[in-house]
Amino acid sequence: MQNKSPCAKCAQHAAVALCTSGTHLCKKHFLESVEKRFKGTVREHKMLKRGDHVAIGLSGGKDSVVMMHLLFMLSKSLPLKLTAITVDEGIAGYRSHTLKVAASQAKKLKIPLIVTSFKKEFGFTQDSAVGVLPKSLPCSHCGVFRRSILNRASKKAKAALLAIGHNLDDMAQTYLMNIMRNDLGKILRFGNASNEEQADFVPRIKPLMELPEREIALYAMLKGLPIHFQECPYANKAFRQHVRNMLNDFEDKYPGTKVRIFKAMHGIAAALNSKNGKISIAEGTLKNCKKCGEPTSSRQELCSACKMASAIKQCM
Amino acid sequence: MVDKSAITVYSNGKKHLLKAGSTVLDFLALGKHSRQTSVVKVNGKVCPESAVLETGDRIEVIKVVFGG
Repeated sequence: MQNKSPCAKCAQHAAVALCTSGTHLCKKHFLESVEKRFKGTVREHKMLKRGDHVAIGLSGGKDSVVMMHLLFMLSKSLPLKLTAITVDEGIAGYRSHTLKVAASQAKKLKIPLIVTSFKKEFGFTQDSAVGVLPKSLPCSHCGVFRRSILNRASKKAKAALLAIGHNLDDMAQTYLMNIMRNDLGKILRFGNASNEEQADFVPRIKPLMELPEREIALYAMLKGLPIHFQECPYANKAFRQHVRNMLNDFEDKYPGTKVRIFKAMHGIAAALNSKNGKISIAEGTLKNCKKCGEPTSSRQELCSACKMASAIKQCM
Repeated sequence: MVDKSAITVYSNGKKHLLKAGSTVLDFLALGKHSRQTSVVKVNGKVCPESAVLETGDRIEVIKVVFGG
């Protein structure tokens, strides 16, 4: 193999070409580039301040592990308290691998780790719940349950913020999905969700949101992080997978598409929110779920997670 | 007689015949791998898609999966 492409910053051979700009960088300068952009996102969106206690949603996949390492690195200059939370959905042949990675990496960085599960919180695993509700795709209830558990666990740990490992690809996919579904509420909530002011939701931050998924994977590999590139067995059933494939095709043909979608949606949400004040996207005020105490809209007795869990148990 | 216009590379235990001067990007296109979801190692090293392949190169295409 002949690698003649030089690094844009030094005389070394390039290891990586950046997704959007095509800039070639050697290993050292690529890692620095990712770390710099990560810090830039945190700073620009005012995600963190000195002394914050941040819960980390740690699945053990590439995004959350990289995010944990980057937050750990940041915590040396911006003192932060970090607590990792892992949710075992109960997906045979998949989750056990990533749980091991989550545990080993949290231990390596000496970050306290809380492990919980669908089984513990709701009484059933994802595997046993799939197909129980008619017309319900596996990812629909998986995401709802996981978000609910992460929120509860973050509150219990007394964290001020919950860091989620959504990357640029996730963000661009989500916006397109929200548009396709005409979900104005979610479109308005776009972006750094630390502006969430809804009672009882631990504000979420997404410090990876401007980093392409592929570059996060490259960062993990070049850093020697023990990542298993194994896909959730239910992923190909998700609506998101179709959007992902479409977006990747566009990105191949028109580099920079994902970044432009991200910036457009960020701008639209900011413009709408500033014009109308903080638009209340919840229907009426929030109240607490009768079963678990988590926030739910005033029209509902139970939160989405408890409603879905109840429906699944009835069908089992 | 050696065909100097072709190179032989290996991936997943299989032999692939490519035109001389083919790059990693050409190999991805041949296998219909999207650049967005693939990271490539050649002879055990991560390299950019512009790297030019040579006979005997061992290529590993790692699929970047979503979720995590």
